[in-house]
Amino acid sequence: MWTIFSYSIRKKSGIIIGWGIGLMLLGILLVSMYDMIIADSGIDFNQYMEMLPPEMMALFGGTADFSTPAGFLSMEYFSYLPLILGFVVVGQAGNLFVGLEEEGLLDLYLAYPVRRLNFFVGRVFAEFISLVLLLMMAYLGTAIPLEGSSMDIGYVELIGPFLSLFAILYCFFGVSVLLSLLMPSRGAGVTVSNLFLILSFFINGFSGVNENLEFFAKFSPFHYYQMAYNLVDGFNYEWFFGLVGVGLVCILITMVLFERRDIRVSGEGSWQFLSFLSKKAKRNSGAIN
Amino acid sequence: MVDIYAIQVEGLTKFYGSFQALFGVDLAIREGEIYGFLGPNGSGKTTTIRCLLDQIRPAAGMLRVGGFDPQKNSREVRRMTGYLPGELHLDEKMNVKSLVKFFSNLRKNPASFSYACQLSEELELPLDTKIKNLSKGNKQKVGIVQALMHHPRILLLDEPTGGLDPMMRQLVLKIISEARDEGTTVFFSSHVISEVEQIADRVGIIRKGKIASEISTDELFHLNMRRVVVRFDSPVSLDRLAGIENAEHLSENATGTRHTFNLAGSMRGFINRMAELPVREMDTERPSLEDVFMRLYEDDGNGRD
Repeated sequence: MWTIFSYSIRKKSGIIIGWGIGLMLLGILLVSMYDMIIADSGIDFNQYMEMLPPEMMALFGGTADFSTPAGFLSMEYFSYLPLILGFVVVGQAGNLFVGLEEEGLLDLYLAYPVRRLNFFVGRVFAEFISLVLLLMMAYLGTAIPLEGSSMDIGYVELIGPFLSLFAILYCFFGVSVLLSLLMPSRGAGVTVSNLFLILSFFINGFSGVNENLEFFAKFSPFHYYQMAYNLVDGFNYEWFFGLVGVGLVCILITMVLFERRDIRVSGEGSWQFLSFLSKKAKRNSGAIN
Repeated sequence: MVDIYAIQVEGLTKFYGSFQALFGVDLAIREGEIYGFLGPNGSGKTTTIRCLLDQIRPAAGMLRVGGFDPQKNSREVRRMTGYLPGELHLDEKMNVKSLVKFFSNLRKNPASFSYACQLSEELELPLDTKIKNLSKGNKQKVGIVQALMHHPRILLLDEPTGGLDPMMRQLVLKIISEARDEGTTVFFSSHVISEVEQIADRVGIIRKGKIASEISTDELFHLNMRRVVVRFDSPVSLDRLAGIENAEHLSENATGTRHTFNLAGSMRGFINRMAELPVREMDTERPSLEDVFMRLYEDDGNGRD
C-alpha cells in the first residue's frame, strides 16, 4: 500500500504545488483587499451588491452582509472555490483508477502481487492527502495575512470554512470516483460528474430566488455547504459529516466494484454496471472452481 | 511418468457482455517447457492470459497456475509469475531506474532490483533515460526486465515480440529460451508461426476462442507449408519434377521455366532434386496462420470450427 501511496502522491506533487501556491496567493490577496475595499474605504459595499440581479446575488452567497469577514470571504472566496476545485477533484477522481486503466498501466500493476484492496486504499489515501495538503496551503494563504488585517477571525476559527470546503470536495470526489467506474470511459465519467457539479451549484444558487428549485436543491451538496458563514452561525457538524459520509459511502461502493472489476486493457470501454442486467454477465459472476 | 503441470486450464469460458470470447478452452502446460500459444488477433490469447492472472474473471472453467487457483490465491499466482502484456504501457514520466525500483518495491523483493539492473546492463538498457525517450524496442526491454526481475517460476508473455525489429525479436526469443534453460515455464502467445516454431516445445493453436489443435513443434513444422517458386535457365518437364518428397507441384508457366510448389515439412528432398536441375533462382514464401488453420481443418474434416 505504501508503494502505491508514495507513487501516487509523487505523481500529484505538480498539482498540489501548482494549485496550492495559486490558492495561497489568492488568500493573501483577498484578506489584504478586505481592509482596502471594506474597512478603510468607507464605502458601503452592500449598496453595490444590492444593485446586482438577485440571481447573481444568490450564486455568491445570498443576502448576507458582505462587509463582515464571513460575508466577504463567502462571496469572494468560498462561494465559487468548490466549483473550481471541484473540476480539479473530478478530473483526479477520473484518473484514479479508470485513467490508469485507460493508459494501460493498471493491467501491468495488478499483475504484481499487490492486493486490489491495498492498491485501492493506497490510491484513495494519496488523493485524500493531496486534497488536505491543497486546502492547508489555501488555509495558510488566508491565515498568514490575518495578523495585519482588521478581520476579526482567529486562526482556529478559520479552519471551519476550510473544513466545510473539504467536506463538499470530498463528497464530489466520492461521487466522481464511483461514476468513473460505472461509466464506459474516463471521459464519460468526468463529463457526468462535472455536469452533476455544475447543476448542483446552479440549482442550489437559484433555489434562493426560485421556489420551484427548492426541492431539487436538497439533493445538491452545495445545499449543505456553509461557505464562511460558520464563522457567525457556528459549525454545522451534521452537514459536514453528511457530506463526508456521502463521499465515503461512494468510495466504499467503488472499493467493492474495483475488487470484482474486470480490468480492461487500454482502449476498451463498456457499461460494466449495465452488464449486471444481462444473463451472460450473471454467468460471469461465478461458476468457477 | 506423471506430468507436473505449471498451468492447467479446463473448460475456460469467458463473455464480454453478450460476446463470447472463450468457448471452453483446455490447456495443460508442463513444468519447464516453452508453450507457444498461437492464434490470430482476437482469437482469445490475451483473454486466456488475463484470466490466468485474475485480471478478468471467467464465466466457467478450472484454472490452476503453479497449483494455485488464481481467484482464490491471486497474490500467490502473481508472486510466482512474470507478465509481459501484449500492449505494454509504462509510466512515461519516470526514468528506467526509478520505474524498475517501483516494480521491485511492488514485489517487496529488494534483490529483484539488483538483478533488474544487471539484466538492464546486459540488454544495454539506459537506466537514467526517461521512458518517453525510449524506442519501442527499449520499452519492450523494460517490459522483459520487469517480467524476469524476480526469477519467476512461470512467465506469461503476451506477444512478446510484437512490433519489434528482427534483431530485437531474436534477442527476446533468446532471453525466453534462456529463462526456460533456468527452469522457468514459459507460456507465450504469438501470431507468428516462425517464432513459435523456433523456440516452443509445444504449441496450442487457438481460433475464435476455441483450441483448434495442440501439437508439438515438429508437427507444426510439418503443417507449416511453404510456397516455393523456382525459375530455371531452361525448360524443365513435369516428369523431372515428379515424386519429390513433401512437395506438391502447383503450376508452371507456358515456357516451362517457372514452376510453383507447395512444400510441407523437410525441404531436403526438394533441394536435392533441384540441385540436379538448372535452377536460376528460388523464392520461398511462408504461409499465413490462416493457411495453417486451413491445413488443420482439412486434416480434421472441417469439424472443429
